[in-house]
Amino acid sequence: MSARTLLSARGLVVDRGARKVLRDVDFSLSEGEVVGLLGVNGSGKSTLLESLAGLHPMTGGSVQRNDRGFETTVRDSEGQRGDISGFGLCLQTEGMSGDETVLERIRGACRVAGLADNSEALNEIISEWGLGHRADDRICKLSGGLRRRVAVLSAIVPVALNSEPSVVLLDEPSEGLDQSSRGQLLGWLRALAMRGHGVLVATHDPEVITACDRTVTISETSELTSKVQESNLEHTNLPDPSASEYHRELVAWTWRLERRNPIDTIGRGVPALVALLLAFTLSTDIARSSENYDLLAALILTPAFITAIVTPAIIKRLAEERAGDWWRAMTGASSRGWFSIMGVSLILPLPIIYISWFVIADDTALEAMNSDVMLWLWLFAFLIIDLSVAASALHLMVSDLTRAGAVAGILLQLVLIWPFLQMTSALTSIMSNGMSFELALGEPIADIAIAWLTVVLLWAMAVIIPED
Amino acid sequence: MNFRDSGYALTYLGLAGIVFVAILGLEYAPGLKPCTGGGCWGAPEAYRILYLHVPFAWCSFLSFSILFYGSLMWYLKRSEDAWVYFQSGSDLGVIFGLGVITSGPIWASAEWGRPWDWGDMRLNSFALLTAVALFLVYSRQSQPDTQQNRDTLSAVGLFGFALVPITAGATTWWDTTHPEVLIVESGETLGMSPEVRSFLLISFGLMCILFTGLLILSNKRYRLAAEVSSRKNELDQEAIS
Amino acid sequence: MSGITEAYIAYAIMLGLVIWFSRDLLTSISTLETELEFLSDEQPKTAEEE
Repeated sequence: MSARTLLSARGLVVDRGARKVLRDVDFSLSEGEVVGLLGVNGSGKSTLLESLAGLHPMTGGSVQRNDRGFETTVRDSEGQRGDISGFGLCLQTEGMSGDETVLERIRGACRVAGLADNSEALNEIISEWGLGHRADDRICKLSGGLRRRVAVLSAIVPVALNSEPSVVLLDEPSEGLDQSSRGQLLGWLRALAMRGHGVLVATHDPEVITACDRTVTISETSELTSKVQESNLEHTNLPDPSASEYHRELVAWTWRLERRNPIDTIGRGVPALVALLLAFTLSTDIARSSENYDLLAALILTPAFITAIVTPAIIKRLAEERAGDWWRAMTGASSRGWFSIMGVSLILPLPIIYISWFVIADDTALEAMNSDVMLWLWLFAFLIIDLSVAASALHLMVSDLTRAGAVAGILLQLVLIWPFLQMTSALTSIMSNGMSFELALGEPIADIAIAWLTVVLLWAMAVIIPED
Repeated sequence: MNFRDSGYALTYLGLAGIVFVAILGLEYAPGLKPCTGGGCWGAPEAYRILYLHVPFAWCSFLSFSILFYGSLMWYLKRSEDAWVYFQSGSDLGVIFGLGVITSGPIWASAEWGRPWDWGDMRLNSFALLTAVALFLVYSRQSQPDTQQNRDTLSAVGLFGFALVPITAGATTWWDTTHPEVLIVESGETLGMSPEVRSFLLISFGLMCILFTGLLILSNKRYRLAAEVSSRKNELDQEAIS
Repeated sequence: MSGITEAYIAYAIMLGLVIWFSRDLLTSISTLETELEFLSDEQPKTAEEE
């Protein structure tokens, strides 16, 4: 019986700006083989490997994967992206956030691949690779060589523990690895092939090539030359496969990093606090009469609005060492939507709106205003959370640009002023006349509905359009 | 018991002391008459906050002095011990600074009817000091421990300390609503009785005991952390070779 | 309004901060002591030893 194809590319065309990097490339990776991808610098090795991971838009062709027995499109030139399960990926840069610990990173990669936690096996592997004493250290505290070990492990361990044949894509894995880890890597590559997994390794390293069953050389004109060879290297004994289990790991990852290093909460909270204090100072000169309710409503909502439009920390976390690309490859089609939801300001809007209200509306105002305000203020906090999802999607769009740091992305956020004004109008109505459920223009519920719809529309545009 | 172990005793004693101060401060210490020679107080009982608020403020100045010492010594000697003081100073600065900038606005909103005064340099510079300390704590944890990062962070520590004299002198240089420098100024103008002053000094004394205990323990923690890190580096080398 | 409620809240925050910090300090000292003891005995495995 011939070996099953685990990953294939047909007629792949990938452009980088005006330059065609891959022209009509056909490639396949079968179960139980280690394939070395060779070629001179600039021939497109990394682009091919990353395209197979679904990271690059294609001008032509498609990439298919046999995922748990089903033929699934990883990506094609039509913009289609299938729902694929996690696999093994080690990019040329680490693709990890420095705030993760070693154990968290490798365990996280296993969870993304749909595996149940197997702490015993993981601890054993981490110790074997000389990282036992670093298991609970943040990755940013490790030397370059140790970080590379973690990056390689987070690609090969999830596949090694997978009972179904899976795929590992490694881009220059031995670069930066010390001699003893290289030896371990070669043993692992052979062992993965023995278990029926398919491994593609882009490399210049002659030692790594000795572990391959086949080499594919890519020329500068994207012609592939395949050569079968025999590897006599010894394989390592891999641990037993783990059971399958579904995890929502991106959510856990975001929350874990924020708890450890709360740059999102602080980054949003500080400008909101300054806005709150300024709003309070401004409000002291405003008479608490009904003709000024629109101004007071705007001042009450401004600090929470600011928490929503500030650049979310997830943008910085995804940009670090191409961590975002690793997650994009793992989460496939749904990545952008999930990133925008993970970039939302969840904690701050509710308390900030209530604090603004208590600070800005003084005792006399509280007596004069309609008591419905207190009852319905939470609704505005939830609208701000919605607005924050759209803001985060807009930030993600900007972050796709090659030099995102050189762009004044905040200008794009000004589009969110429109739903903000609708919210102000709704709050003004409630302050003056109380809550009304009448669906007519100018009534609070209609203003809230318009604000909500605008936000949803903006979010959908920012998430869906760039993927097509 | 050696000096480093005395940190435990001083911390427990100091904690018991400030719990004692809290009970006395809230229940038995002299409060204020609603109106005294200096004027009327809007919320005389909130004045009790001062018995912890002021010692907290002084301790945060001490923390920043330690941070300054650590930063300066790091620059001059590049010694591991200086870095230990730098780390302890920034941690303690956050704890005592947060205590001051949260209790201050609570007192202010009761007394002045508003939590913050933008015209008050002392409030603003105190918030800035605490923000600098918080920045140092989070940055230290999130960055690789390299000499370049230590140099940058200790430069920020020196900058933080430059804010201290501005903060301390702020109420004298700028005409503000914040109470004058307590004790140093005449108690009469604030209606502070000698009993209040004595109680405040007792509170500060106990807070100093706690502060010393925490400093000794914090230094112990960072010395241990340095040992652990050095042992891990040895193991890294052994694993590579 | 006498402000006594505010006084209680402020005291709770300040006491909470120093108690939390002391507890954190004591816990991390004991964790580090254990870790140091463990690391002193540990020998890393390398590929050559396999």
